[in-house]
Amino acid sequence: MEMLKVKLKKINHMNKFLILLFILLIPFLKVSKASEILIESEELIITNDPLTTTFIDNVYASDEEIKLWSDKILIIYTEKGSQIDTIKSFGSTKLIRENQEILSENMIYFVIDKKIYAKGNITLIQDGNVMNGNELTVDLVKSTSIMKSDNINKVSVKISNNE
Amino acid sequence: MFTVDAELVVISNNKKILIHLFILFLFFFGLKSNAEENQNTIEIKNPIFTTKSIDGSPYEIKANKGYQREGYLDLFVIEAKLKSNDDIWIYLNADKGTFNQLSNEILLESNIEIYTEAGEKIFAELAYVNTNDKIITLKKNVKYQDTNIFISADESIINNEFSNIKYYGNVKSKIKKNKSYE
Repeated sequence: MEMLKVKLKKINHMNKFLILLFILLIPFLKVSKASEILIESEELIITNDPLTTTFIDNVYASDEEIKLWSDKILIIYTEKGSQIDTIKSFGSTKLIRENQEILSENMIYFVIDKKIYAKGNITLIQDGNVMNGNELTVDLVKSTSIMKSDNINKVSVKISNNE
Repeated sequence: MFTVDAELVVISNNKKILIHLFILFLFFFGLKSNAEENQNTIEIKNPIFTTKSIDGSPYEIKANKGYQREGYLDLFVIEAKLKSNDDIWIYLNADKGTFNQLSNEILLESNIEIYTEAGEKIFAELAYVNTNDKIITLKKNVKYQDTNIFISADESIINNEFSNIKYYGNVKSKIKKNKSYE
């Protein structure tokens, strides 16, 4: 009887250990799922030399960080071709992330560096506030956004008062 | 009155004879056509064609069964392969297809699988292969898979032996950002 009790205790400990191990592995499972990017379009052209992937017409791309709509996007890989380096969008582009919505004509998403850079007529909508400028840099890791403008036009901000 | 009745009976009989003759004519004409068709179709078991395209690169077509008719060959359970200019074999499998021996073109149908030694795989329901310029046009339920990317589309055109692939209509893709989770 005593032996059986000891055995049951051991099994119980083992189960607890397995549950703990599974909980510890969950974040890694999440990372694995998040390492993909989904892209839909009307047309896609892939060339091997050099390796380019171009999505054309009604393009929609999404990953764990962003949702992006554009006329055309080009995927650029690292030199070895093993990793997506940047995603360039051309034409009317809209990007949504967390509480931000960015409208621009051209945008670059640095996938490895986790940064977004936009140039041209930019509109940034954040928490109901609207900012207009010519250059925008968003750091997805630090969660910072820097809007710049050229010498002629200044950055304009329209703050909504929701209180 | 009697004469008129007799004439009507004769006309009716003539009509019947004509109808019978017409039916007999149709029957024999149909038989002759079938016989001609059967004479022109030759069944071949396990046909293998090893030949070269215009640029001299070899290709091979194997099947479980084939029917030869004039310049065409209807094939069933096909295994074909083309050699690219980079000396890489491109393999093509399908349930059935037609090989045009004059133009070196192959039409593949049903459960088409095209793959390379480099690990690229494309699936479709209809494919048109031009062995001379090595252009493969895929239609219906096109799916592409390699270690990094999955693509589905309505249509695809493979040019220059997989160095340029275009997809059209309802393109959906899933791309791995890096290979660390293979």
